[in-house]
Amino acid sequence: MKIFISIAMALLIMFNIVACQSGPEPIAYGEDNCANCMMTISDPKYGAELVSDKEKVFKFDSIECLADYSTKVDVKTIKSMWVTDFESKGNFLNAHDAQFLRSDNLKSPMGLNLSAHKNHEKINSVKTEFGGDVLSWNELVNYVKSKWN
Amino acid sequence: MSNRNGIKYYLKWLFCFLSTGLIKNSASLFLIIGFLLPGRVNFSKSLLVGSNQYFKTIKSALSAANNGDTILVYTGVYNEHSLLVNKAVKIIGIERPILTGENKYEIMKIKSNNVLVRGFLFKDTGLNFIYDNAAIKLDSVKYCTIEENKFTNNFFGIYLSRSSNCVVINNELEAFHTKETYSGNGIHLWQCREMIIKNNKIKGHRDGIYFEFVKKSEIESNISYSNLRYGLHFMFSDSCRYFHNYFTKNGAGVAVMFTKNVDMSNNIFEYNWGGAAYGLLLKDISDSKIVRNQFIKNTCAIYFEGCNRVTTLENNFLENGSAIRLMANSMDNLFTRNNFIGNSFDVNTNSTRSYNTFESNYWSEYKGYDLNKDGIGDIPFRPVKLFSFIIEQNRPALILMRSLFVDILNVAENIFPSLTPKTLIDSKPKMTKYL
Repeated sequence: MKIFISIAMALLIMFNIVACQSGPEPIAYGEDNCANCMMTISDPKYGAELVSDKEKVFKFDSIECLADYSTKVDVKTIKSMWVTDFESKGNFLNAHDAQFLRSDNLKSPMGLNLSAHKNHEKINSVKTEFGGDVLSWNELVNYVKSKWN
Repeated sequence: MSNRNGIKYYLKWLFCFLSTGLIKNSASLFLIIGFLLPGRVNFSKSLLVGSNQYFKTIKSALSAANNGDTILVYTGVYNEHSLLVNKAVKIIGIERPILTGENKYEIMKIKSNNVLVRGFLFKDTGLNFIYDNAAIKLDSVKYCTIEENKFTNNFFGIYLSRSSNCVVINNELEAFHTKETYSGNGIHLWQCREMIIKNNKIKGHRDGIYFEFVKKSEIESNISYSNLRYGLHFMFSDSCRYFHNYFTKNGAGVAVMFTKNVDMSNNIFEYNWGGAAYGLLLKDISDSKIVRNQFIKNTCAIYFEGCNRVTTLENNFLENGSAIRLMANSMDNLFTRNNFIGNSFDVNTNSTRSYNTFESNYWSEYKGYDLNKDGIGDIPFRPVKLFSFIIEQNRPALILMRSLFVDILNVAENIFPSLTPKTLIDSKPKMTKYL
């Protein structure tokens, strides 16, 4: 019996380890600070995260801060980057899979007015309502670079 | 009424002209009529709104009004939301009538130049995260005045965008949200020029006063306290001044970021406690002045990151956790004639080099002497202690504060400086404090 329990425990621990996949963790809005601009993160439509190769999570108040930060660190140290899905607050999208809208009617915390969307349909419906243009992640990084440097 | 009087007066006047025979030629008569008519007939009138008045709703008065009219609103509760003001009118409340957004809507939107709004209580706008619902929103206007209003429990209070030459004066704003995410800013300016924000009291909003892409504006004599995030939040706003303001007990103090030519003088920054709270957080600021401010009991009085050519002159730093945290990427800043009194740390830095100048400050920690009695200490003062250098690299080491071990470390470093920045010294420390 004892053996069973210990095996079960061992399995549980193993599952736990397996379950500890690296990924984004929830942002505590109003408490966490942006790793790039130092501001307290407060707008849940625009939060973003970067997970480093050492599994450290850096949090950002906006997509532009993530993009700016990602250009300042060694690419090898970036494991993954995550942006908040504009339509369903709190859900993260991988930065490379997401679609981005730049619209002056959706004001993001750092003034470049970028928001992240899940797919073509979603972004087009937002675009027809608010206007703006669609960017890919790489275009977005270049845009932030051109604006801030 | 006044309109009719105007016409009467005009006719009388015309008659005088004709009877004296000055005008004999009908062509010039027409010319004169054409010249005088628009100015004379367009007399401003007053429209009265109230339960016992001709107009029962502000909306109806607004649609009947012309440019230059005054709308007087008697006391009472008006459940009128989304009021669109697209004429140059004065809207004046008598005995503070209440306008409510019923926790669902915006209250007033101003889209005309030369509008004045005075004497109302705006309350209960609804939350809307995409449209940023505000009690009063001004969009693309000039020469508007918002004065002596009260605002309670609104998402955003006064929201100005793409506007210029407006004045926001003597208003009181209070919100009761407990979460930053559900709260908007008190006075919010975006893409504005030459605005004056004066004598307002703001409490309980996300940011008390918020400036983004604002130029040449002034923030004067406001009290911004107990806001959830920043008392004043200032981004990309060049050539602005803020002076004689009082910022206290805000969640994270005051933040001034990505800006050139800011003049910050005679403000009080007080009681901003917390891990990420700063009396004044400066990030990427250049060519600016911080003059004659009081920094009292903040976790960190001023934090400098990426700041260049900032002059910090004649300020008082009293009983702060650390008075100045100077990050390595800040250069050519000057700190002079300040009083540093009773701070746990006077200067913290994360670099062994410093390209900033400290000169002629008063340091209460200074233990030197003045043999030639010129009021200036004979040996230089090193404001960066070894221990403050250590905690900059390793925050949890703070637990050793005030221990004997740390005192020994500091003394040793003082005698043989090896780790602390050699250039970060005040070579002319003042013996007595500046008054």
